[in-house]
Amino acid sequence: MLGLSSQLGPKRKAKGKLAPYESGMSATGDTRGKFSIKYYLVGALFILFDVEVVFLFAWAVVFKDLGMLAFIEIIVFLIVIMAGYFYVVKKGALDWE
Amino acid sequence: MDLSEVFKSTLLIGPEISLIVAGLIIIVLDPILKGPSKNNLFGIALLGLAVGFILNLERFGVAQTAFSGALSLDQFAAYFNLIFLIGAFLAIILSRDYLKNIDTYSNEFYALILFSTSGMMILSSSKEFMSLFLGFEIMSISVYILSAFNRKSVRSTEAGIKYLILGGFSSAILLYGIALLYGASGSVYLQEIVSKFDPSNPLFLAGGALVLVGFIFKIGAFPLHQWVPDVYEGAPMPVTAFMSVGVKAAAFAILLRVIFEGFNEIQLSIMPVLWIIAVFTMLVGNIAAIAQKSIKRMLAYSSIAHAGYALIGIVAAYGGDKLAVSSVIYYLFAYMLMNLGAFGVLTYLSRDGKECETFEDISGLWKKRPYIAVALGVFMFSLAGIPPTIGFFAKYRIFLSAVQADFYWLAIIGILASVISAYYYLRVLVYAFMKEDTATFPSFKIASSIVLVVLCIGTLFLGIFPFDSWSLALEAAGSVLVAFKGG
Amino acid sequence: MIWVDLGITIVKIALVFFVVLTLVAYLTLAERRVSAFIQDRLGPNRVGPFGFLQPLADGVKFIFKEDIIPRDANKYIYIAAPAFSLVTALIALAVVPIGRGFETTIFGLLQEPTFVKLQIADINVGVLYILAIGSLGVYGVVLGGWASNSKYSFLGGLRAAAQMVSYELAMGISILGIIMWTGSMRLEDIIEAQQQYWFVFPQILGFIVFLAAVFAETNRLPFDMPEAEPEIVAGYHTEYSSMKFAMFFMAEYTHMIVMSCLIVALFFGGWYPLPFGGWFGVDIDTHWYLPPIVFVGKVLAFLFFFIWVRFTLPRFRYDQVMSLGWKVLFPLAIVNLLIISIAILVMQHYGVLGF
Repeated sequence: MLGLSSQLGPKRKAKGKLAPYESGMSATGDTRGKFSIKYYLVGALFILFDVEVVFLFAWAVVFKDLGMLAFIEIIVFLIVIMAGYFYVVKKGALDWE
Repeated sequence: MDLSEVFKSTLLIGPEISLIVAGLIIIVLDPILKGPSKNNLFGIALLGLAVGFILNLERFGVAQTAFSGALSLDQFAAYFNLIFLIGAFLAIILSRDYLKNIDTYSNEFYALILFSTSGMMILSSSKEFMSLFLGFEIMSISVYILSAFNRKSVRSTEAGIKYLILGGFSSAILLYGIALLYGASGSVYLQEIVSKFDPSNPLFLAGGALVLVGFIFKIGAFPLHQWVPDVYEGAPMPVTAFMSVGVKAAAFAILLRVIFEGFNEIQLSIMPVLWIIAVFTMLVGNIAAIAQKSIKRMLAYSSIAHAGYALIGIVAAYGGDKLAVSSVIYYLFAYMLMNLGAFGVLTYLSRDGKECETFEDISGLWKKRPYIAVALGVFMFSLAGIPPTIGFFAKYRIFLSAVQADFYWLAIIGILASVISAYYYLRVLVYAFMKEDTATFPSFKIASSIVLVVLCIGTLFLGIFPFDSWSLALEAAGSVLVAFKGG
Repeated sequence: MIWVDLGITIVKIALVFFVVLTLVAYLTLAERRVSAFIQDRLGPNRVGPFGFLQPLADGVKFIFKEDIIPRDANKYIYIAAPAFSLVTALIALAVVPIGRGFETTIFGLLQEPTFVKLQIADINVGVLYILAIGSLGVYGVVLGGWASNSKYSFLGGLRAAAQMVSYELAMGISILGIIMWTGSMRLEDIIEAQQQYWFVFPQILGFIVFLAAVFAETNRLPFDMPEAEPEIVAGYHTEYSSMKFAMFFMAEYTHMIVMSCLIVALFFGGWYPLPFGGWFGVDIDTHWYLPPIVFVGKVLAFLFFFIWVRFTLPRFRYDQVMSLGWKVLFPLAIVNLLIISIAILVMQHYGVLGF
């Protein structure tokens, strides 16, 4: 599928056609420069919380068998995580602009 | 594991929990509180440490295990916890003045110290590789952040990044070693791994070597010592004080635990390695320290050297010698007092957002701040191992155990190394007492000076009357050697 | 036997591939027709009766367009990105069961009948598999945006990464309630557990969170930040043309199909047609063709719902998207988790609903 149109499609060389699109202006500056730190933050926080979710998945499967013990342990686990979450939110790490 | 056993184990790790809870409270309260009340949160940290300290005292009585034998709450752990808790307590008080100096009132600092301390405590009592790694990481990650805490300083940030990357590598190596040992023995419990040890199986040897590498890195001993000066120099002063005593002691604690948990040929096979490491660590640390222009960097190299002295004790204890093991434990305790003191003086003298680092920064201290100069003298004498300080007694014990175990060369090299060290320690005092008073010094800081007084008295008093603390160390050594003798 | 199994599997894969891609093609038509209906227009109706041949015409036209690779693009990543997008979307369908299955001798070719499941791969962590593959989908978008070396593409890719990643958390946690309820991550087990009642009723909170997260994950309006036309032209596929552009498009629609299947399987009873009471006595093991019809019917209904929402709701602002994901859905999902776990404990205590 990838090859199809490069073989079948027409080839019309034209100046500027291969330049990156920037609303008709010629491109300025480097695309891969700095970008907002927020993206890094979101990425780091995602990894942190996603790891917790992975723990939760294993826990959820056996929850019915373990009952009360699993519940108490997960409450402790969630308190610790939510303390971290609360801190992150209050510090404004998730506010955009 | 049923509900009641979980509860029982949870109650048993009260000291660790009190630190973690205090840390969480700080983290939650910090964003909520506004205004000046925010600056008092370090009180919660001190409270948590005090509670932990009191709960920890109970452990001196009986040895117990928690979480199916994963944690061993014995006197050995209790003694090391004492080192961590006192170190953290004093470091927090010191850091309060320090943070004021660099205009950062970040309560995260205290929370991180608490988390790190709890990690050390878990580490010192773990008898199983999973909890060991858990404690190792809780301790390390907090310290990585702490060393980069002075965000305005390029060097502090550099130290943090350096420590993070190198520390990450060492953790990975440690984990890989653990995986190999687990693969070879089918267990993560130290005792079972040791009992199944088989020298002909390369997995055991490679795994053991990798685990050793991880510990050697954290100790900052010879082949893996290069990170120490850069990180110690760049990190904020109280953090350097804290990690040079806490992280080092924790790494030694787990090294002792791993080596002496059950008897096998391992002890005999790694002793030549440790012998070489100890010698080179002492030599490299001491010789490099001479050339330093910054006191902070000099103390960093000296901390490498001190790790070497403590390693002598481990080598001397290869046959399960209780005196030798307790001399290592005691040495770390003594090192906590005197090194915290030395960094405490430098913290005290830091002013106007800058750290007191070079020799010029303390020149003429005696004329302007005589008491501080005396304290500095006590700590430097102690680090050099000159009586009547605790440093002398601890060093004497180490060398004595080396001689008793017939490691004459090791003892001689150690003594020669400390003679070298006397040169650079006393050079500090030359600047402080004999040079012109060209430097300017900050005004009186009440909290820090109390810390210095406490440490000074501790260094001198325990140097003259060391016997109570020494017998505690003996008991601690006995408790870690229980399994060793049994096997 | 292994050759028979292999053959059956290959046939199933080919069938799913064919059906899904056809469905994707007609979804584009449906999208345009439905939008026209909502906006009181006619929509494409010239190619074939009611415009039914429109997708075919579109496809042919895509193929015969010039395939532009921008001068500064990273060529290999640029080419790989759309394929990656489409493949990750397609392979997620492997674990979706659309019925129990049936016994057949393949028109007498085999001596003894073999049981054919209406599912390509029956793995016991199906839910986890779909989530994992779904999160791989972000790579296609990010790589495409990065490799194009255009600022709009780059911004689109970044936004897509941040957004998809944020909503994945809420999505993962909102499913946990169901896994706790059934004690299994196999989709078939989960569907069978809904014989008496659909899970959307006990887990309404989880469903709401999941639905919102699904819209964000598929980059559909009201969450189509990565390709918000007024702000960043066309987002991550600004620089793409011809068939590669079409592949990004197909990936998006395939993703919609996968997510619809997931919603149906997790919350709307899979192949059970009624909210309560299952098949009211019809033996679906003999009438094995009935469950797939019900399942596909529900999936189509949800696909319609996707299109309907797109032309009803306005687009969010980017900061609103992020704070909705992190500050509303994530805590809500945790609350759902706690409610469900308490409910299960209580029901276990009193022995209700077979616990």
